[in-house]
Amino acid sequence: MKWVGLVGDRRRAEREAAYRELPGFELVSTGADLLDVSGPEPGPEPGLLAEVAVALVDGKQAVVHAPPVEWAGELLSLSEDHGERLIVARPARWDPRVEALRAELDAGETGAPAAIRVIRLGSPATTLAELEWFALDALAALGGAVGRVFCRRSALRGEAEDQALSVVRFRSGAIGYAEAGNAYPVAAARTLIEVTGSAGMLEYDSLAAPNRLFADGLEVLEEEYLDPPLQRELRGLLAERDSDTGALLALAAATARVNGGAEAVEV
Amino acid sequence: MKKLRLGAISFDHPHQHGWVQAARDLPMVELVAAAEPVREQWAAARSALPDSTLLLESIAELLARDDIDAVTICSANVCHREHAAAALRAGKHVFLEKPIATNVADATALLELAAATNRILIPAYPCRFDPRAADAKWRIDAGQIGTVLAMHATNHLQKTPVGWFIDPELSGGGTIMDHIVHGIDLMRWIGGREVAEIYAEAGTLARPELRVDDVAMLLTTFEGGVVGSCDPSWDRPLKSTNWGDVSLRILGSEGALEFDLTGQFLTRTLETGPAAGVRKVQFGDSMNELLMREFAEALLEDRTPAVTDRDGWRGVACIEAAYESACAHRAVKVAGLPGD
Repeated sequence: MKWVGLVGDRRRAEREAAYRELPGFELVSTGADLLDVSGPEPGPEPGLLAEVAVALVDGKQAVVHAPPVEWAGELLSLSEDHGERLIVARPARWDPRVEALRAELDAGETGAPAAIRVIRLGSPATTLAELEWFALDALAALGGAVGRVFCRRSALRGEAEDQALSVVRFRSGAIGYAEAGNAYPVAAARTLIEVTGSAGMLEYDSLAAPNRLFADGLEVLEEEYLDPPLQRELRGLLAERDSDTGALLALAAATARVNGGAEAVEV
Repeated sequence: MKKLRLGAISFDHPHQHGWVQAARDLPMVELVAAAEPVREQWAAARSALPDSTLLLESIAELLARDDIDAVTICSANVCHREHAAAALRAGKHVFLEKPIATNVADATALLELAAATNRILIPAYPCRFDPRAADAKWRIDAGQIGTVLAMHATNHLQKTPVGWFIDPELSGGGTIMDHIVHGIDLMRWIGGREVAEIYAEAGTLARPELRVDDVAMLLTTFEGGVVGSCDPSWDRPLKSTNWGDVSLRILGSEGALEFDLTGQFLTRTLETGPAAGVRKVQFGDSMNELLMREFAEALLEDRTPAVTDRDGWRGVACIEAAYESACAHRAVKVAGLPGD
């Protein structure tokens, strides 16, 4: 797989090429097999949703990096119209931590899941969308189909939303909790995934993992892998493996529909 | 030294053993008598009490004594109103196990009766007396993390509740009834604002054979827009190295602060024997003793205690809102204290 060009303007092409340590990007609108939609910060720009639609109509595949959750409804429509040719990065289901938890659940020794909790906290250097997609995808990957969701999104420190809290009821009856927030100090960054079941409990907590950087203060480091989850996700898309993107988009779209209302929303 | 003369009513709730121990350890408290109407619980009650403390079968007989100033009440939840009301009418101050009632109407009646009889009623909310909680409160009041923006509490428990706890006719409910009040009280106290609205999901999931909820998750909105969550679930495995937790994470405009009141522990690993395996052994101050001390000193000094019946009432209001939300699948406004 190689980069062949960039949709956008010349200044952006130069900036992206520099960011990816490439000699340069050509400006293209056709000729690529896979459209990779991302923006440096704080995520894809609104016009790129149309580019996704054009790419899918042209028979291409698309990966959209941590889009605003409000896009989920439109992305779901596109995904349904064009099969499994669209994915949203970064799904947690490709993360080895979530895969290991999933394998344990499938083994059945912890019994039927009762509660699934995913807490994904970061500093303002991370986008809320990136954290929230991870949390929602981890819930969906571990708990299966969701029946109902309630969500509260807040702008705690300024005008931009920086916290998203969701409570879900899975169709299995289990209860799920997804907390994402990017208003935390660097040292408070955390990934916690916990599953309690009728016969046991599984948990991963990055604060309990010994990955620390002591430099200008304390930083809790992310797990590192030789084969990063994003690469594996992309290979899955190219191999046309079922990514279950539809279920994730349906859950995200439902959280967006709650939108400050008092009622839970059916997924 | 002037002493508070205490009576203990019912050992239904095992916390009574903790209150009795706290009373025994405090020089300003004299444990005069206990009343346990259930004969099957006498052996456990007797073993907890000093030899000098009377053990009676009749609550009325204990309340009729004029050498008792105050009582601790640890009967099943649905009996709280009856037993606390009887104690107040008998002129006793009341230290009442949480929740102080199973519904807002009963809680309101107890507040009104305490006011009418000029007696003090406090809920058994020891968590805010733990030195780590008090230190967090001090740091936040001092502005060390700026303005409070979000608060998240957990009060998990192993799958241990049995007996009347899991009988809805005696408990009034499961994990929401039993376990949201500590997290809610810590958030109210430390955050300095009341809960305005609750969304809750609840179910019988960790032990599907129960007739009460044992897993729940609450999203809470506080006055002024602060948001948060409260997880009271009884879903920790019996093989867990700890009985549960009482944790709070607070995000402020200038930082974050978190603590777990069960976090002071040694790790003990045994190769053999009945306690084989890994176990957390806790140490440090007893928040039970600190709460009992506050109750005794407030009465002896004729002042208002640091935790009051109004705090107990607000816990019950949150319980009622959470159960209503869990049934209706929508956010529910939390009732305000009458007269506020």
